[in-house]
Amino acid sequence: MSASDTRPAARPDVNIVVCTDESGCGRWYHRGRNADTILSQLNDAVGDDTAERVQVTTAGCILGCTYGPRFDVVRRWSDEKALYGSICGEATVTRRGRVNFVPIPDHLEQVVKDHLPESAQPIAELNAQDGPPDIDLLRSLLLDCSAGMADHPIGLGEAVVMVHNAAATVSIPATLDDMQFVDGSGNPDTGGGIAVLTTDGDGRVALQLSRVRRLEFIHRVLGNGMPSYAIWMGDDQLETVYRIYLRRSENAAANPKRHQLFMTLTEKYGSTVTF
Amino acid sequence: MTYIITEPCVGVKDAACVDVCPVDCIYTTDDDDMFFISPDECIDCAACEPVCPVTAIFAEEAVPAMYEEYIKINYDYFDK
Repeated sequence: MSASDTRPAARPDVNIVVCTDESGCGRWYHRGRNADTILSQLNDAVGDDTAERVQVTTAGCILGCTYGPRFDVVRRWSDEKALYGSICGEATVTRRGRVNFVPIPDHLEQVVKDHLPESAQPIAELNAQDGPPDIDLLRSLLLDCSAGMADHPIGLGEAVVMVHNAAATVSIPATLDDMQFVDGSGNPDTGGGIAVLTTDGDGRVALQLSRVRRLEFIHRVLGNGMPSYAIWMGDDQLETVYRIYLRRSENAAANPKRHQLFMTLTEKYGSTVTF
Repeated sequence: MTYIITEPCVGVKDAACVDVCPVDCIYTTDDDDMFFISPDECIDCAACEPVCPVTAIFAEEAVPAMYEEYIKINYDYFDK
């Protein structure tokens, strides 16, 4: 085959590369959609693109796992790229460094429109978009903390919840084991936006999940050689609004298992999760 | 494993692969007549393969026999 036989086909204006990695983003759901759904919806959004200006293709891991669908949009007409994910905002990604994620819109026709030359939105504006918080992911994460996971069927258990604002900090001994979710009226609701923890002495701490935009798993070894496990949750101003510190369990046999669960949670969700 | 760019790229250099590569591991110079994928940097995502307009990119173990010499050509490019 000679070079003259291999002229390129029509050059698309936009390439959309969808991660369908079965070991990562491809199997996660975000707002009811996984990679297959996203791929199908993107193909529908492109529709009868007879001019082949938008090309949708699949790929393995394209880095930047957001625990939900991920795709890159490449504007070949301007040499720009936007990274879409189930989180939004800045994050540090292996091999890519500091990147910005654009939230995946509910209607993917918008993605196509936003990147074609005649209707393009500035990449900086897309990167500045603030999507709705992913309460489902946070709820799922907290449930894993509370009840454990398939291979680690023991919850994180005893904790101290630290709540603070500019004027005061309150530390409340509580347990994660019986976490419940309630709606705005306080009624139990597995899809509720408020997580309720029972405190020692039968008090309650209610966490408004919609306020949480960032969560960090923090594992340290203290100066005295003892391990420290904490989960920090921050709001959209990156202010830490809740901190959950694990207490040593009175059931000594449970502590190694709690350690394993904590480390597994960190592996599953990443040390920093944004919503 | 890595991906290998083969003969159909020669003289074409469409660069779709370069544009979509998430880790910028595809190289060339003005003097080169094709692109090359750095085997050390490639993350095997396969994003480049379907966007190539001339079907020049293959997984290393799937390079057609007629293009097998490009495996060495590709590796040698980065061993300079």
